[in-house]
Amino acid sequence: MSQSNRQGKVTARERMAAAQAAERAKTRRTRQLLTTGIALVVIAAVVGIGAAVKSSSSSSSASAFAAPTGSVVDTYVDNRTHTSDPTAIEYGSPDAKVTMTVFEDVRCPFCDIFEVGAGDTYKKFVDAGEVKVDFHIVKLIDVNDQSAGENASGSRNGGSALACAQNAGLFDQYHDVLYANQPAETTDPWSDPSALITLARKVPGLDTPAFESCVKNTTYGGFVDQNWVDFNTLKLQGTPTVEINGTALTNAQLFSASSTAGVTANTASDGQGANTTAVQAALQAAVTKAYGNTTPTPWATASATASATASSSAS
Amino acid sequence: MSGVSGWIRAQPWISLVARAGLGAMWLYYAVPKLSYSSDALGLAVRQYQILPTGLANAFGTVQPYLELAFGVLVILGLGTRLTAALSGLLLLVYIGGIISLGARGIAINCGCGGIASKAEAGHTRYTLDVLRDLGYLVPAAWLVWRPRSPLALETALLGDEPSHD
Repeated sequence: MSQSNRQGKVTARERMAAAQAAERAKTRRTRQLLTTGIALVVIAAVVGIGAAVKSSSSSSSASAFAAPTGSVVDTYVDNRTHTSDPTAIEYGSPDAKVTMTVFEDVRCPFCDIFEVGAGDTYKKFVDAGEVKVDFHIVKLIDVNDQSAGENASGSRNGGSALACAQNAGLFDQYHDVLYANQPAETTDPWSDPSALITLARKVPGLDTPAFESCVKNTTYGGFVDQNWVDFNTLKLQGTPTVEINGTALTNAQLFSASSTAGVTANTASDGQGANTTAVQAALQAAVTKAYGNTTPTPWATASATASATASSSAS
Repeated sequence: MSGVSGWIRAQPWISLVARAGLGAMWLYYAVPKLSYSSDALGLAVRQYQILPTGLANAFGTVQPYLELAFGVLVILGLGTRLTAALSGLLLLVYIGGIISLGARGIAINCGCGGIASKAEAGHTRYTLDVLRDLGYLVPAAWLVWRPRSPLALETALLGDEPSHD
């Protein structure tokens, strides 16, 4: 009799302990589900609010910006951006039938290799009146530096200064000077406008009070900003992006490991030079297709500018 | 026997340190990015040339907020195990992306358009970046295994939890 009673008590105790353990386990599972659920809601809310904030402040619609004299609408870009904004600085005869669209950044090393290495190549076509170059100066390196936590403005300042030079009618000369004196990519001396003004003294007639004030005020910063917006609208991968009549040249057409054209001490470690052969071939093909057997009038401005610079540096 | 009980006493504090480290890491990376434009954020991901453009832009825009949410949740101690697991997943995605860049020889530190550059400088930084992210996986993995720690909101909000795991 006492034996079975004892067994009964043990079983009841065990049953109660088991029930309590099950109750605790259930509470724990509910608690885990709740905390997990709350955490998921927090993540979704933060991400959702963030995405909404970012898309509403997206710079796909830029405010009005000042554009330098003679800046044009690049039709091959505008057919994708549909802004009708004059965002390109045009170098060459407006009547040239082939357009070379160039998105570049004054601080970008590969743009330097392209300009220093292939500049002479494409300028021959420009002087012949066959090709006009539409420059879109962007601030990609600045943006890259900012995403690494650094405050950079050399690309924007340099781009604005180029527009100031365009106003003075000395874009090509100053463009050459900037790329001939490009700083190392990890430095940003052009965040100080006086550095850009010092370089401008290498171009006879450029350093005027109007030019200096233009550079110091970054008057055409908005112009560079809009080109940056367009760069993103076109979803370009990087700089330089070079298109001929809207068709992009590949990296292999622009650069070659077996070339040293345009390579300087700063860019030697990149192991690539400008592929002048391919650039020449691509431009020639486009020119032949556009002109056939006809020959356009050479670009008068280029010859005048070239001889003016030559005579002033000789004196 | 004292070894085991010593371990049981120490574990919650190790987890607390892991929470602090992982949370601080996420906030350190997320907060500066909150002020960047969506253009900059999208471009950063597009340069990896892994995702199609639309997805890359979307991921870039969302990324700082994801990291911010992880950091806040881990520091507060709310949904620690889940957040640690998601953190680990995101870190693996980052590690995979960097390794993929190295394998394809894409140098994006200059952002000058994925040209196969033989520059050792780019590759050396990739190695450091991967090692760093692998280091962050350690507290994340620990917290998936042992999420309980003192000063956690989940404990305070929903009552004491059982003493065993």
